[in-house]
Amino acid sequence: MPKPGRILKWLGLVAFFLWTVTPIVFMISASFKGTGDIFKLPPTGDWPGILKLLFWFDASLVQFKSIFEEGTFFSHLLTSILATGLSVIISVPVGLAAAYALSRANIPGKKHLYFWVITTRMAPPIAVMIPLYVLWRGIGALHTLPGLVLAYITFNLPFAIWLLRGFMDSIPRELEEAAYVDGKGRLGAFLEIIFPLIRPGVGATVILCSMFAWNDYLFALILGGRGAKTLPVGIGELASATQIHWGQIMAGGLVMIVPMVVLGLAIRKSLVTGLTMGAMRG
Amino acid sequence: MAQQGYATAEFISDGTPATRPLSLYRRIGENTPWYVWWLAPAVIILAGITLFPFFWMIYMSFMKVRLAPGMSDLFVGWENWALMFEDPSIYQGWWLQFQYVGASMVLQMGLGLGLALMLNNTRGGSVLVMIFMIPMMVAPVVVGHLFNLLLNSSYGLYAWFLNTLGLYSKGSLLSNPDTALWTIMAMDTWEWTPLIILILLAGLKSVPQDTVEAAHVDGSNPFQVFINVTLPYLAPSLLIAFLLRFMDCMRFIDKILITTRGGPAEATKTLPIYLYFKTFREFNIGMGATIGFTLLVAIIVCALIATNILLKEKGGEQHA
Repeated sequence: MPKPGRILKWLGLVAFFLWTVTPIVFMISASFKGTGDIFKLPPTGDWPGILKLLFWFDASLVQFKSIFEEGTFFSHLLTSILATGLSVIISVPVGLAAAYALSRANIPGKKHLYFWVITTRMAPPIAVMIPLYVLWRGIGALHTLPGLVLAYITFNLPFAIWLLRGFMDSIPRELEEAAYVDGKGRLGAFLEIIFPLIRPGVGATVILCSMFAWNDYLFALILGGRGAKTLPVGIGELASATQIHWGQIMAGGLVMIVPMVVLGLAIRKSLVTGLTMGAMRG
Repeated sequence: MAQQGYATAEFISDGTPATRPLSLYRRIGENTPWYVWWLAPAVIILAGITLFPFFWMIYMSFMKVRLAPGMSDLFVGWENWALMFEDPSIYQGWWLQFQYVGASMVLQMGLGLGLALMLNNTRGGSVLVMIFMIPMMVAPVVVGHLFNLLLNSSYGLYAWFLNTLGLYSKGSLLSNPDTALWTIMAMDTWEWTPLIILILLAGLKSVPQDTVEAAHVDGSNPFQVFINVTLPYLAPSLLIAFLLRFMDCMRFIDKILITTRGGPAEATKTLPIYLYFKTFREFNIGMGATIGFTLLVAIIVCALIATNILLKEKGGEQHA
């Protein structure tokens, strides 16, 4: 590559690096500041002051202390963990069984079944929520944890089926046939042959399903409501018309995103496959 | 049904003593293909929480839904539908949605393609990619609040940048009707361009390096190499990236709800946001069901096209 091209390339990469990282660095530094310091900006044009604001400030744990001391944070955290965990615990095993059937059996109308599954996944949450709201209200599941878990299954189960089926298709059938010769039943062959082979795929599915449920805001806001308030809704409420608790929002947000960033980077190889619903397996 | 009856008869004539009739349980068990048991839990759950609500929504679009205790729904015929077609806010909502999705796609695809090309075969690229991935994992609520603070006119870092560079100094970009929608597009671009970069980087691996080098030796300039060699190999990945981002961009409204809530002056009241207010603020649920149904059908049509293209693309790869 000629030299000016190289310089241009690195300029582009540095610019995008700054564009990506600045908000995150800002968020981290704001979480570790006292409430008064968050609102201090250097005078217009004072660039070194900006660097000081981002990297060289009086660190304080006051924001974290204040969110942890407030009892509601833990109850929101617990709701988030339960709603995420339960929806994954139901979606992934049920999805595994369905994915295995879809991968191995000649089912009449399989194409239509696929299509139903994938459209369920692609449906806009706000439209899905309207009938769910009325129905949940009718059966008393509105603003309860089970109601919220069921709502999360509407997107996590189709996703699990779709993704796991892709992982299963990549395992040759001959392996199971050998197990049948050994006199094992279908369940035995599945548990002893298939499951160990797709374990990484199952792991990626669990993490991605957890991310979708954990980061959800709209379902929790409308269907979870007062009775099942998750962390995103709790953080959303820190900004009211009268007062915005920026420090707590930044610190709470940081607590919320750190586990997902760690998990996401841990499965970064499968992440693309997962987020593209298996369309990118190659 | 008829098929099952026939199979049962054959099974009995196949040597099972006809004198001992099979119990119903065994007859069902023997004649049901194995996959039914494996599929049943998923199909039953999905039917209960997606298919049934879908038909319920169609039913509600012909009703005046009254949630107060003791009140039952009133049949109103096509009234909701007629009102929807007369409502100028609906057309405005679709138009804003079209602008939002269209411009976001152009922005993200362009930026994603440029960066994927810059990152491809670059030393240290994989570390950069890992850093670039972080925004995708940040919850939309946090993204919304973070940019709210960054753009705040009196203590936001980005407002300071814009002010110092002399680009903009009229308060927050989010509270100006001319810039609010564009600002939300920029937020979505910050969060999701990385996904496009990742998909395209995976696609760039399929471009044969020796062909690229041969083209360079032949004296083609980088632009010609890109158009004639790289692009044909990259086309499937571009398509996948576009379709997936397009579908998600159509669906998610969290960031708008957190930052502008449709304002200022309805400048960001895209169709899904309008739907949110109609249904869950005005509690006009019959109307909401009508609008929701049209949105759902529009997306199902898009999904039909998208899945058909994706499945074809995938099938092609498997045969190759």
